Amino acid sequence: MDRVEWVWNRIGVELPPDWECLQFARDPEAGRCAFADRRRFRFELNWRNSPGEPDFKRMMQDYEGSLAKEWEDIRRIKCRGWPGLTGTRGEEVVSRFGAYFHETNLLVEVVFVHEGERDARLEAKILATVRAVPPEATGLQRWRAFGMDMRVPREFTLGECVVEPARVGMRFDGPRKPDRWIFRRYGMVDSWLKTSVRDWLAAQAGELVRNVRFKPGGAGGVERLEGDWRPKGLLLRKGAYAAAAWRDPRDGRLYHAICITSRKNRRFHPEHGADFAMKSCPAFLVVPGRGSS
Amino acid sequence: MTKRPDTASSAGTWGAMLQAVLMPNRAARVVREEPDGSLTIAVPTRKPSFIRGLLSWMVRVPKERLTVLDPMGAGIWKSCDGRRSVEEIVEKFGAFHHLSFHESRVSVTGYVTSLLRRGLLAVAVDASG
Repeated sequence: MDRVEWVWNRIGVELPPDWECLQFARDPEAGRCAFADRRRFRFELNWRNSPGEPDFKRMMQDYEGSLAKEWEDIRRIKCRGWPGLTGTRGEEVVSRFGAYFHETNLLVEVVFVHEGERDARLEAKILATVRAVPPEATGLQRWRAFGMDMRVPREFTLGECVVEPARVGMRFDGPRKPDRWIFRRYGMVDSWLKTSVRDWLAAQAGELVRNVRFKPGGAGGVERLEGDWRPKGLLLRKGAYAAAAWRDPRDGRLYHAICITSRKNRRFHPEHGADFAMKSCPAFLVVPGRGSS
Repeated sequence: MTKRPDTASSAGTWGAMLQAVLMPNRAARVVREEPDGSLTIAVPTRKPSFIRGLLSWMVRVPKERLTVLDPMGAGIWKSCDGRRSVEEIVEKFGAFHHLSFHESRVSVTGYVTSLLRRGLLAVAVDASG
């Protein structure tokens, strides 16, 4: 595979498959994802929510001034319509490009780090794939990260993201409780899964899920179950619980999707099953937890 | 754009670590090897300086400390043969368990660090970088 797609916080990009995300931010207002190859950080995606397009000319001037202290040989460049700056910092050549995405009101900055000399072709190739990913017509927002291809209601926010070797978990919280969609991906499954996926899925439901009933599985050995979400506590909202789990034969990993929704708000649940919202994308490499937030 | 700390400034921080070569502690010995591949390894302990004379007679410091490695850990320990670099061990571990490079790197280096602390391994780093 030539490139692997990454969609995070309404920004999409396609990167070389050996570039892994080592740092990420959950904040939809401002944040960063940083990607590294084996040896060094190679690519950075920064975003900031902005109600309107900034004055790029002035911004570049200010930026150039601030970088002059750290960089040498600074010059302005333009690539695929993205204005940018490139310069040398020690043994590295760093290029920074900026753009404003009107569809999502995001000011996006892309940073390339090259060892030795600038690779303009690589920059052009990647910049051509950086794009806004607004919510789909169905009202679902797509995320694609850490080996998972997910769709969550557009008003949901990324509440938690845990990334460890062979274990990734992303939780999206809805504006109203108990709405919560959770996606997990596990590796090294043969080392720890000593039961069937069906039994494992039932065990994951735990004691907070009552009236557990298995549903007919989908294609690809997907196991599904549903139940009633009954959190402990008088004031905690009850709801419906749907979960799916499957092992992807392509990468051998175990995928687990959970949808907890209020009984009234069953817009996406359970007609399609929790696995509808998540598809595995084993082509994407998974990253360690270091630097995760 | 507002100025943010540069991620890139920490580039290559793990490069030297990947080039390092790990070797088993010569004083360590395998006490037991189970059929499932797990190992029990004994490492000689050093008597703390304050335990001398009469105190050393009263407080018995064990001569060896035992460490039990599960099959996965034993595989990593055996890979540290003084010839392979950390990068090669990371690659081998990742290929065997279908992990990405950085997933494997974090797993292996975390485990190796605990083995170094326990004195089961020694590390050689190329000083030239």
